[in-house]
Amino acid sequence: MLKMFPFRPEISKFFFIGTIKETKIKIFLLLIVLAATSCSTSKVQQSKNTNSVSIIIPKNNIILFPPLIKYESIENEKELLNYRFKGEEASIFFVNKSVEILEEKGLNILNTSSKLSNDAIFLKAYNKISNTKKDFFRSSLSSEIIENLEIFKKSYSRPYILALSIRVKIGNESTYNFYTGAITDDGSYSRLKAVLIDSEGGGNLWKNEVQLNNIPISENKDYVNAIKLLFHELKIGEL
Amino acid sequence: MKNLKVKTIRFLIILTSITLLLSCATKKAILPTPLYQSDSFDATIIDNILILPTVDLRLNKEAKLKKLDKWVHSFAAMQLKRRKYKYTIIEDRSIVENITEEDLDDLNTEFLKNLYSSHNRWVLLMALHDVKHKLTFGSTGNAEISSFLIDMNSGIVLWRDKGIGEFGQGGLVGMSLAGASAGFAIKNAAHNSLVSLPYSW
Repeated sequence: MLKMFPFRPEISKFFFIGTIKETKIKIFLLLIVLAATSCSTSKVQQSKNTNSVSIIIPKNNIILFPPLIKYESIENEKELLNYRFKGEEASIFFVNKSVEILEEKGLNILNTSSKLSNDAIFLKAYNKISNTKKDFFRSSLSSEIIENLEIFKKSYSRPYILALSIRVKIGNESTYNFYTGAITDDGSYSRLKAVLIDSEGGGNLWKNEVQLNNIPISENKDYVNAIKLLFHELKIGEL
Repeated sequence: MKNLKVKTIRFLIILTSITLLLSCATKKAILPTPLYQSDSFDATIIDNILILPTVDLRLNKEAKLKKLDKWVHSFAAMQLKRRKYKYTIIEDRSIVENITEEDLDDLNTEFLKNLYSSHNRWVLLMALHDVKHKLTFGSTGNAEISSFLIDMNSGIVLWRDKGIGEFGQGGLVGMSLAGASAGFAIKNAAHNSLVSLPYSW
C-alpha cells in the first residue's frame, strides 16, 4: 500500500504549508476539481427512438451521398462558417469512418465517380437527389422527392440511398457565475444522422441518430465512438 | 405668486403624465426582434390560438419528462394572456409524435396541411430541441425551445423565435437541486422563446 502511495513531501507542502486561510482555499479548490471530475457525464448518446422499419438492410447497390453539414449558433440558428471548427475535416472523417464500418459489416458501397462522369442521365438524377437530400430526414417525403427518386431509380438498377448528416449547434462559452458559484455549460452539441432510402417508392428502410455532447473533431475518441454507435445496430442481409 | 405655483404644479403633472405614457409606449414597442416575422402578421385579426403539445426532439427520451407540456403550456398561456390573445390548449400528444428537426427547419404548406386539422386558423407550435443537466460543484441546466405561430389557412409561419433557458446554482443547494435543474431550464427557455411575440392590442 505504501509502495502504491509513497509519501510525497512536495504534495503535503503544497496543501499544508502556509497560513490556515491559504490551506482552506487550497482544499476548497481541490474539492471543486474533485466534484467536477467525478460528475463528468457520457459525451455520446444514442437515440432510443429510431423509427427504423427494418434493421436488416440490403447488401448491394448502396449509393452513399456526401453528408449534409451545418454549423449553427444555438441561440439564433445563424449558420456559422464550418472552417472555424474544422468542419470539412470532420465531415470527411465521418464519411471515411462510415465507409470503413459499413464495409467491415459486409456492405458494398458503389463507387459512382466513373458513372457520374460518363452517364449524363445518371448525373442529372444524382444532382436532383443531392439537392433535396435534406428531405430524407423529414417525417415524410415530399411529392417532389418521390418524383426525383423515380428518375433516379430508372437511371440505375434500383439503388438504395444512404444519406448522412452532421448538425452542430454551438453554444456560448462556459461561464462561472460568481454569485451562485455555478459553472454554466456552453451547451454545444452535434447530431449525427444516417438514413437508408429505397429508391423504389421512397421507403425508409433504416435510420438512426446519435448525439455527441461536443463539437466533432477528426480522430477524437468520442467522435469515433459516436460514428460507431450510429451503425452499431445495423444488420445486413437480403431483402 | 400663488398663480405661478399652481402653474408650476400643473406643468409638472402634465410632464409626469407624458413621461409615464411615453415610457409605457416604448416598453410595448421594444420587444426583442424575433428570428422571423412575416410581413402579413396582423395580431389584431388573431381570434383564438390553439397551443399544440410540445414537440419532443430530444434524442434520448429515457429520462421521461412527464410534466413537459404542463411546464411549457403554462408559460405559453401566461405570455398569450399577457398579450391579450385567446387560446385553447390541445393535449393529444399523437399529433406531434413523428415531427423531426428537419420538418421544423422548413414548415412548408404540404407539411402544415397534414399537421392538424381543425377549424381553428391560428396554431402555436413549440419544440424542445434538447435539455441537459449537469452536476458540478452545484448544478446546471440548459434547454433549447423553438416557438412557431402558424396561419393554417394560408399554410405559412407568421412568427418564429427561439429561447435558451439556463439554470445554475452553486454549492450544496445547487447539488440538491440537480434533479430539478432541467425543469427550471425548460421553463426559462419556454418563457424566452415567446418574449418577442407581438401584442394583439
